[in-house]
Formats: sequence, C-alpha cells, structure tokens
Amino acid sequence: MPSRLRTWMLVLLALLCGHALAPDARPYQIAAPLVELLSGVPRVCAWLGAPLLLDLPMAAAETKSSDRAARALRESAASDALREALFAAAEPTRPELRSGRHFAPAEVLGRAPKSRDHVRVRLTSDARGILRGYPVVHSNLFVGRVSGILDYARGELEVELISGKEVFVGARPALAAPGAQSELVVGGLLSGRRPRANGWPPLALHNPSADTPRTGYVVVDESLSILDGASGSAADAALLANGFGLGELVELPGRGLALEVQLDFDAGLSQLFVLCPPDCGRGAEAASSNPLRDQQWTHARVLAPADPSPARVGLVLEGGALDGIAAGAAVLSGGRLIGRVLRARQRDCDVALLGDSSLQLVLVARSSPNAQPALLGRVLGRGPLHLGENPRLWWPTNTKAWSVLPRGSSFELFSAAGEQGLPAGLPLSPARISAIGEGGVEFELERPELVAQDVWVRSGPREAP
Amino acid sequence: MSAQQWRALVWLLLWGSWLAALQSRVLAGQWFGPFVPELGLVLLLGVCARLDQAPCCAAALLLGCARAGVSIEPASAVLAGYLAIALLLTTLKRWVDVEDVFFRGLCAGALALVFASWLQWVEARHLGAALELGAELAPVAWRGALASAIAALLGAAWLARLPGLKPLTQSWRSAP
Repeated sequence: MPSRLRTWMLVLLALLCGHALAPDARPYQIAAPLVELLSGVPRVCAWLGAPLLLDLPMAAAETKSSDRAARALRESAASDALREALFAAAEPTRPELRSGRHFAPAEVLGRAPKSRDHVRVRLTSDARGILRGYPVVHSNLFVGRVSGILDYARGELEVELISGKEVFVGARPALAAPGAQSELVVGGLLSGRRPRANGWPPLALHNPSADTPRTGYVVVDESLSILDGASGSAADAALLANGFGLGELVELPGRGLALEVQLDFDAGLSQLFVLCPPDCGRGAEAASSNPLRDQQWTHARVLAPADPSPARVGLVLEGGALDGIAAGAAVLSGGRLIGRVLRARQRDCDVALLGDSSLQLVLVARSSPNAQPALLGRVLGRGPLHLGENPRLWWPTNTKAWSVLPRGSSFELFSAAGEQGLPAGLPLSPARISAIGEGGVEFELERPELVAQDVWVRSGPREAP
Repeated sequence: MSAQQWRALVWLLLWGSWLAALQSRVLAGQWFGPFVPELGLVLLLGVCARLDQAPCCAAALLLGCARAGVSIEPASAVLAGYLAIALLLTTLKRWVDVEDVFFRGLCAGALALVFASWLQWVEARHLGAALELGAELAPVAWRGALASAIAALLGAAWLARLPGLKPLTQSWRSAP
C-alpha cells in the first residue's frame, strides 16, 4: 500500500512540475477548469489569513489622504500634458505630408490575439469616416493599414502592420521623382524572421526594378502600384500614404536588398494617426481621454501585501476576471503605477510590482515638464537585489538613446500605450539612471507607496460568471 | 480517518494560512529584512517527523496551498516543492532521526534553499532567461535559509504542538 501511494504521489509531483514549467501545454489547457478550481483552494487560504494582515499596521509611512489627493491632481495634469506631447511627437513634421489629409489620432491598445502583425488601436472619438485600407502613420513613417473596424462607437480599429505577410506597399527611393521607373514593393519581414533582442528584422523587398539603388531612403509611392482588389475610394485612400517613409535600403550578404525599419514595431508603437481624405466628415478631433480620470478602474482589496519569497516583489489582490481584470492590467496606488497583473483568476489576481523580475512595461521618460518625451520601449523589472532597496528597472538598448536622459538628476517616467491593460500617461515614481551597462541602462525608482486602502486595477468588460 | 483527524487537518490548513500570511506581512513590513523563515516548511518539518507517508503528503499539500495563497509564484510550483519535500522527508525517516533538533535545523536550511532555487528556476523558465544560481540566489535566499534553520532549531517542535494539531501527530505516530 505505501509503495502504491508513493507511486501516486510521484505521478502527482510530475504533473505539478509539468504544470509549473509549461502551464500552457495542451493537456493542462484541457484540464484548465479543474486547475482553476484547485487553485481556488490557496485563495481560500489567503482569505483565511487576510484578517491577520489587515489588523497589522502598514510599516511604510503613509502620506495623509489630503496630500495624496493633491498629488493625484498633479499627476493627472502631468499625464494630460504628456499625452498631448506624445500625440504632437507622432504628427508628421514635413509640411508636404501634412497637407491634403485629415489626421485621426489613435492610441495603441495592444496586439490582436494570436497575431503580432496586427495591433488594436482606439481613436479619440468614434470610427466615423474611417474605412478599411486607410493608411496608418507615426510621425513621417508609414506603419500599416486599417484592416478592420472592431467597435464603431468606441472607435476601436485593427491595424495590420507593414511587417504582416499580407501587406504590400508600392515604394520608391526618396530621391527618385514620383512615378519614375525605379520602383519596388515592400511588405512582410525578410524570410519571416521575428524580432530579436538586438532589433527589429528588416522588411522584405519584392521585385525591385533593375535600376533600384543599393542604398538610400525609401518612401511610399502607391501611384504606380496595382493594389489587390483596390479600386475607387480604397485606391484613393492608398494614395494618401504617398511620401511617408518606410526605411533605409541595406544590402545583406547572400540575401540581397532589404529595408531597415526605423521604428520598433514591437514596443515602439504608442500614438498613431489614421490618414483620411480631407472630406471624410470627421470634423475636429477630440482630445484623448485621461486614463486617470476614466471609469475603467476597479478598487481591489489587498489579500497579501508581499510575496513570502524575498526574491519576488508582488502582492495578491481580491478581484479577477469576473471584475473585468485581465493579465497585464495596470495597478495604481496613490495615483501612481505600482505594477501590473501577472495572472488573473476568476476572483483574484497576482500582481508583479515595480522591480519584480517578471514585470515588463513600455515606458516614456520626460526629464522636465516641458521637455520632449522620449519613448523608451520595453523596460524590464530588475528587482530590489536586497530587500528594502528601491526598485530597479532595466532598459535594454543598443543605442546611445539614453543620452537624452539626465545623468545624476531624477526624471519622470510614464507608461506608454501599446500593451493590453496599460494605457499611456500613467505616472511612475521619479527615477534616475543608476548604472549604464553593456546592453542597456538601469533605472532606480523612488520606492512607490503602497496604500492598502487605495489600490486600483485597470479593468475591461466584466466576464460572465 | 476519524473526525478528529479531519479536524486536525483543517487546523493545519488554518495554521498554515496564518503563518503564510504572517510571513508575507513580515516581509512587507521589512521588520527583519530578508531574514524571514519559510514558516510553512518549518511547520511541515515539525509535523512530518511524526507522520506516516499518506498524512505527511496530505499535510504538505495543505501547507503548500496555504503558502501559494499569498504568493505570486505559480501554485503548482509551490505545491510541487512542498510535496517533493514531504516525499524526501518520508524517505529520510528510514535512515535518520528526523526529530533530532540539529538535523531538523540543518534540514530546514537546506530545504528552504532548494525550495527557493526551485521557484527561481521555474520563474527563469517562464521568462526564458538563463539562471546563474550562485549570483541570483546569493543576496536573499541564503538569509531566508539561515532564518529557516534557526526557526526550525528553536520552534519546529513548538509549532507541531499548536492547538488543534495534537490528533494529527498522535494518531499517526509511526511505530518505533
């Protein structure tokens, strides 16, 4: 009997180890309802332990509620200013690209499910006047085309990026005259390569004409392109993108010509513009709404204020999928971003706080309230290496982009749009550069204040029970 | 199983939950820095010394549940860690006296370190990152292991005598 029991226990151990290492494996997906039910047991335990947690005073010095309210107002104003500056930075700078077009501002909400080449964006108003096929740009660069209208009233669109397999754009070298013989078609990644840590792979060129130069900048030119099935208004819409940049021509050994993109399509898309004809009927565009003031926040009770393992920086909150909370949702306390939801179950969620090794954020830095915001892209948690230290973030960058940030003095960090549940403009604690390493820069943040009674989670539509 | 034994298991779950909550609260308050023992593990060592394999595994799963309830680590990783510890302890019992205070202290320190390494390895696998165990674990896990060893030396036997646990340790007491 004991040996049979031992065998069963070893089987259970193997199953648990398998789930811990590969929770998305197919057998566990099939057993997901059972796993969800079983994982409810630990949460009952958390609720049993919660009275003990709540009866004890918070160790960190909490600011007065009046101070918190004043700070929340300041943060809200700073967030407004930042979002305005981000949209200003995303507008085309060249006068010829600004004329004859209507620019509909949109903010990236996240990637479409199961496709890294599609992003979901939200306009600042409804989708009036927007059609499939309208070009989407960021500054002077072509990004992709509208591939679908997801929610007309909320202005939610799907955009297929130029890295997608199905997107083809007519192009010409920037120095060639429009309509000249030297033409090419751009679209998709070279040999279907996916992005790596050292940068976005080049875009593929199709059927370049014989006189295509080996170097130089390439811009969109749809004048001579025959778009698949494009006619009438769709063809006219495609022409709106003429003149917007695509990238720099590079010759890769053994691979021929390709196009080096100048935008990080993975974490560098935050604010975009949909190009519309001037007579599209959209009128004056509304300003984007401030996420700190909208109604998409759910108050959450803290079930566990810290992970029992000193190597992790996280907490457990009451509130889950039934409250509209999903993985990746932003978590605020004291008016500042303190972390993101790591895992959301039906009625509770795990939160990775700033510094936790599993935390990933897309951030914008601003050295002063009037300075130009610098989109940093993806930044990773680096822990407090010792308990009680300030949280650290690691910004992997191969460029000298950090030189835009002040050395020695602190600067402001905000969330950027582009990831599910993380809207642009949420302020973080002030940061400073603490180390510059081989492959990136380390930021040290002032320790965020966790006020147990003031924790809010970004939520979407509530899931039916 | 008698009603008393069932009640004892419920008490074990309750005590485990409260100890895990206390561990979480102590870490949040930074009262002792990273010198916070793995209290569930210490309690498991305290009760497992007197239990047969079946109740020992049940106790490990209950205490693992309690620990996972306040943790952001995957529950399956925590449960696997506790179950592995229970299986290891029941195997060790054949050769060594696990009720010996010094052995218990040593065992708690080593197991706390292995448990922390396991959780960190799981996390590294999820992130797709390579884990350099020495460098990554050095700052905090060693201190947690030391605290667990001291807590087991001083308090494991006391924890096993917490109210409600008596039927658990008496009725399943292994034959000498």
